[in-house]
Amino acid sequence: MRNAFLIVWCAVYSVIGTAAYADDVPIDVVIVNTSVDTPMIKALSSITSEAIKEAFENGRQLVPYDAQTFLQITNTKSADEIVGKAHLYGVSLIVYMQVFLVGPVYTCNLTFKPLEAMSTFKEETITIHSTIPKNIPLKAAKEILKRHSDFLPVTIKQKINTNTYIIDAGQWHGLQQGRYTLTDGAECVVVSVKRYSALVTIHADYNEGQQITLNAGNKFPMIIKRIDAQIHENINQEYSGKKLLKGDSDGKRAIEATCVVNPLGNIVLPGYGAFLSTHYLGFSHSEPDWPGIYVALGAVATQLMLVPALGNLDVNFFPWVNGNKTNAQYRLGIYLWATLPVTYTVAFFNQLSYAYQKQKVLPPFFLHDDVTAFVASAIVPGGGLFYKGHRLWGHTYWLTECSLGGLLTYYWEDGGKRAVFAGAFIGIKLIELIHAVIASPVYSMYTYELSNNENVHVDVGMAPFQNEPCFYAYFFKNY
Amino acid sequence: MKQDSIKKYIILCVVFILASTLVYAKPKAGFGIIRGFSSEEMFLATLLRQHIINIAASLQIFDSVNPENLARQQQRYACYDEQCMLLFTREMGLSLFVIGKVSQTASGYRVHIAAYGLDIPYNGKEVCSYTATVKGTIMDKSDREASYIAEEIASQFMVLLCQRFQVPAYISHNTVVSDFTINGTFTCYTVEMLHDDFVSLKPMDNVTIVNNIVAGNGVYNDCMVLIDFKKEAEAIQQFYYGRKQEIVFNKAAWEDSCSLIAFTIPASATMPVVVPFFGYYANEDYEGLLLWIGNVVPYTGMQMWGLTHKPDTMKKHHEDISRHDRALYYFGWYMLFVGGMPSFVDSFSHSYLEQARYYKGKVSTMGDKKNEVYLSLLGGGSGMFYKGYRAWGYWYFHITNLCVYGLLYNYARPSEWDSANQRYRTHDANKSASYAFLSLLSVIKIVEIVHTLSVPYTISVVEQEDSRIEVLPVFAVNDYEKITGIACAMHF
Repeated sequence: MRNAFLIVWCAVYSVIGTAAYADDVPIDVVIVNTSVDTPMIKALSSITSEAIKEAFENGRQLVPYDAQTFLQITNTKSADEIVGKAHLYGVSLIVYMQVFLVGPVYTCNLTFKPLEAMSTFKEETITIHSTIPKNIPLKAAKEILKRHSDFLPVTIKQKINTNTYIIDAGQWHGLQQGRYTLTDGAECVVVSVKRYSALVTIHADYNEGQQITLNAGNKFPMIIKRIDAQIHENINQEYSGKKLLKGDSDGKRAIEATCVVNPLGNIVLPGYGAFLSTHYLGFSHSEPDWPGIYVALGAVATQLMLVPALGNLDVNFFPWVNGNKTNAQYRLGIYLWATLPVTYTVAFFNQLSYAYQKQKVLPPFFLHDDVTAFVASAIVPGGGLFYKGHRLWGHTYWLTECSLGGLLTYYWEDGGKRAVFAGAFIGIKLIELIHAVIASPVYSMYTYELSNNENVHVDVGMAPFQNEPCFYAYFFKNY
Repeated sequence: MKQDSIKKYIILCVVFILASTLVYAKPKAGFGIIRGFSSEEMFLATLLRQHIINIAASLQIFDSVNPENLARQQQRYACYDEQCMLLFTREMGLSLFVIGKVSQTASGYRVHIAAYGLDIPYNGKEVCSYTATVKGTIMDKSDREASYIAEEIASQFMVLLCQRFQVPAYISHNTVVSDFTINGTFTCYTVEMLHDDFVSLKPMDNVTIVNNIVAGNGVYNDCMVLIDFKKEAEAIQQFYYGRKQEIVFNKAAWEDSCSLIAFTIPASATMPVVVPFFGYYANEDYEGLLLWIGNVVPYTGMQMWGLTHKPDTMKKHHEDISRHDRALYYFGWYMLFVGGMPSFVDSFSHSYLEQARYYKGKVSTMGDKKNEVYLSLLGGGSGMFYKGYRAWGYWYFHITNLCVYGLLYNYARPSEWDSANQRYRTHDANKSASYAFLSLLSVIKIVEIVHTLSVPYTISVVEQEDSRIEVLPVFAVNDYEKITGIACAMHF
């Protein structure tokens, strides 16, 4: 019997629903999907349209509708009539969305067309690019959320008496019974809340249709953070090094390569062994970073020959044999030989960083890139910077820290110098750890995907400027 | 003529439905479509909806409309959104409707289900909203495992719904008019019309109701009480937690517990080698490995130092033996026999619980009350690690180790080599401090046992987004003001 009621009420709904709609539920935004309907684009555009709608829902300021539902509820036959009907139904904003494919890049054009003066959405068109289709809806959602206000703008729908009003925001907008402040400092008491409207008391005189702004908390930073994490996750999945290993764990391989394969490879072929070890992570048909190999070879040669050179080649080559060495030379010899594995690891990290950039693959554990960079830097000088692709920084930290370590060992008996070098070493190590965490990865496919999304950027390098080579170093943070 | 008869029929239906709601029968509920776009999402969404409907039917607190018909009508009118459903279901005379969405992410799925109430006290407002993420894919699982996962998520949503949902029951001449048998103490409300259809519930007195009759001398008429379903929520929670334990854990056996006890010393002794390589590394639990390096390696260092600097050896060289030397030696033995066990438990239970979480076959040794008791008695966070609580495990691990060391330090008797008399002079132990540490250790042990036994296993398949701590910097410059600060929010 109940089923019969259901069917009957569906019929009733279809007749009276249109009338009831406009009164009860506000229509603030209409999302119009103008994408060409190829099967792939159709699927992506409908997911993007849904994501835009969800972004407005998460924004909790403008109630969204997709064009299809809007046409249905307004009893409109043609899409050309949307603007006219939108004016009629008090719609504030129309969002035109078009998804298309240009070569390997998915593109989404979002055009905002405000139908009334809005402090948040201006008339503009923004273009979103991604090589990963799954990121298009996320990036579109993020653009929508970024344009929302930190405060809740509401309109006085009805004035009941001097201080009592009905406003066009309710539980959907995040309001609940209680006290709020307006941005001008006045107090607003929410007496009763419905889903899309509320009965409030404000000790001020407002007219119907007037806009006021409530200091209602929002969750945008958290939601944008979650979207960023999803984009990051998608990039990591798309460019994971696992695909080079046919399902084997890239994390395990990286640890084994660092701890076993690379040290053995470097003992056999110092410098070049680091490049050969990258093959253990699945890289094939790759080329080595020759400058990196030369630097590693130079470092190994220095570590082996520095003490004999300091002793005018009159001291024993092997560190464990004291021979004619001074105490400082003896200590330095031990230190330099003991840090040979560090040099090998740095050479390996450099080759890996180069290979990841060239082959457009992301390193293992990239889902937690900041933590991994921190750990890598804590264990190997410059490790975190190599991990994020900053090879020049990685080499700089490694050479600086290893040199300071050498000086500290050499001048160990001189208390003053020991304190200076130890302090400098600790200071630079701390700077390196912080730098490793805040630096953004520079892998091209990663930066491309997050191109509008960079919060912290640290970079240094050489570049031509007005026909002259120029050294640059900069740090910026976007809020 | 035909139109007139349809109108009459519709009016009759309206009267019948309104009448049926006026006597406050069971809340009429519509479990709408949970949407998904891809085939995978739709598969999970369909399973979820089916389980929600099943659980609701078994609870017998809702009068559900036919789900197939509801879904058909939703599809017919493309009515999936909250706004559309609010009008649609209001016209149908429902008290509650549920809609949701499943979306796929790189690491799994994100499930969002919301329930809306249409009667007092909600009047179209959201009753509850449940958002959770599930890791992994259900496509590589058997139908049974996929169904278990969906059922677990559905049960968690239903728990939330039952915790939040309230139904009004009117009192007329001291009698509660309701399909439910009501017993207990409730607050009696009157409905105050503020303006138009804005209403407010005004609390009056607390009334005691026995079998739907208001007890006492007062006369209550035209007021209402709000019935909640918290007991049902508790029952669903207990049932599905117990059921999952039955599904994923092997039956508790004495042999397992005896093996665990017999294995304690070898496990603790081999911990420094076995745990990092055969535990964390083999199971690719890198988070566990990092935590182990940061938390356990310093104690392992103390253990090595203590055992390699024996007081007897120092005596041979006539060296002074400080309290620390002796305490480190004793501590080395403690770590060798018992102190390594928490890390051992952590490394293996973490992977076992991971298997259990995603219904990957039956897991042995886990889920046994005897093991819980034994491991919590053993201390050092073993019990908490066993149940999957790493943060608590390490908290108890550190605090126990510090107390044990404090106890050993004060119990130790330092010896000084008296070169004049060619013999050792031994000092007394700090007895009062030893007792203080022993008492503290006992208190910690009792707290740990109670705590361990009172918490459930971390075997939930979902990670709820709404239970977390967020610390965010706040910077805002706009037309109105400039804000700089830090925001800290705990969602639970």
